[in-house]
Amino acid sequence: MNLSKSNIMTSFASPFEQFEINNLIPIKLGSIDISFSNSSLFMMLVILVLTTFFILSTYKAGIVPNAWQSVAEMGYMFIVDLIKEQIGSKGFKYFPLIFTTFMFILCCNVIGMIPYTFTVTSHIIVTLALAFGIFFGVQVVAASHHGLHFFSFFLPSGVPLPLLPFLVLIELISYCFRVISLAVRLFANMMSGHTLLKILSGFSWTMLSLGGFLSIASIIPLLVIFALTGLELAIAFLQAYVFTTLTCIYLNDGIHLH
Amino acid sequence: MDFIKNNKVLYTILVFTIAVFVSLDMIILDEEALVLLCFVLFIMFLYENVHEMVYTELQNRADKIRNEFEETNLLQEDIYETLLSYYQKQLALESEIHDLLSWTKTEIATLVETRQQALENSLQKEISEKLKFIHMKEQDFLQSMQEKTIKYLTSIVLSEANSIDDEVLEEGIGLIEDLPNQYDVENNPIVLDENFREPIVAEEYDEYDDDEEYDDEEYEDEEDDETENSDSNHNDFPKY
Repeated sequence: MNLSKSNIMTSFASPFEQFEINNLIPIKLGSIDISFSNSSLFMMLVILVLTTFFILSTYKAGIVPNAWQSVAEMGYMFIVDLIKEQIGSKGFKYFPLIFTTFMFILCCNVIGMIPYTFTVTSHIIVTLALAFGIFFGVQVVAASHHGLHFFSFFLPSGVPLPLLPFLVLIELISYCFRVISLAVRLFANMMSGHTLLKILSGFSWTMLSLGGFLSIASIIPLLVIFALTGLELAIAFLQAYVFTTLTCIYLNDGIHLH
Repeated sequence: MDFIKNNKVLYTILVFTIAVFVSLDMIILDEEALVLLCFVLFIMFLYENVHEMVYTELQNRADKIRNEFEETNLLQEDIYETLLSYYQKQLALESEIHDLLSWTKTEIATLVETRQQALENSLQKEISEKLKFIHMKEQDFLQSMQEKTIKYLTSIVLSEANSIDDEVLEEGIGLIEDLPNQYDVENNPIVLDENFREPIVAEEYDEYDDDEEYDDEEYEDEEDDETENSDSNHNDFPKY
């Protein structure tokens, strides 16, 4: 039975196989599993790559930048402009958080695009953790800025009194769902893209292995994969940008209350 | 034989290595391999098409920054040069002010000295003029006094002469007429005999000894002395 199952798995590899989490170093803290998994490994790899890139690109940095320094500076300026546009001058205090979040998600997405690697952001637990962390941080910022007055955020102006409880409830739910939307958007995009690529490649592989005319026709799905790779790379950047922009918007709400 | 020369040795080695690994089952060809193939092809495609553009863009950015920096640098240099020139001008002005001050001091000193000299000269001139005037007045006074005295004496002499007898007058006239006979006029000039003159003059003066007029004479003598003194004093002053 096991043999037959494994045979099926090898002949029809699941497109979700790439999202499997394997414990590389099993660590148990009581009943909690804090094993060092492939996800942890790739997260650390991302941090390593980012740190190395920024250290090397700004090593012996000059006033007139070389190509690598220019790339680093452009990344920096991109986030500075984003904060200026979305939050204003009050938001520069949160630049390190926003810049780190953007760079981490972008690097996770791009590294995940390389075949045989693991996409950290294709797991909702990672994106939800990120989103919840940001949500919690925004609450703290809002409370520090406005105190209890922050709850006026859920009170729409010019609404008839009987409707007010419902509207406040709806506002509260929509506010809390920001976390979920933020997390799901990134996770779903990354997972769907990778799955799509895998399905198409499976399709192409099947056509290639069938031989004859279909072997030649398998070039068509390959061309689609080629195009989708470009699209996925664009999405990888876009999702990081969207995540960061939404973070800025939420921070702006917390700081300025609409 | 150039047409069979392989210019891309690294690619050839890579393809052969992959082929060897696949034959040894070290690389399993499956769907993921196709994704990898597409990914590599896409990266190569991107590199071929975009890297030039990206490189140019980065180069432009660097050039722009360099230009801006050079412009700022030039501007800063200009500012420093202007500041330097201002400072030099300030220093020059300061030294000029010092020079002007010292020059003014010497000029003022010279001017004061000249003015002092001129004042002294004018004072001396004025004093000398005054003294001359005084001297002239004294001379006039003396002269008038002399004239008055002579007039007075003459009037007395004349009044005395009226009282002289005709005999004495005739005697006198006779004496005067005899004079050419007594003296050779050409060889010996006429000299009045002392006996002829003295009794009259002595008498005249003796008469006036106790007179009030004598005081005038005394006064006149004193004035003469004074004039002499003043003359002597006058002579003490330097002549200008």
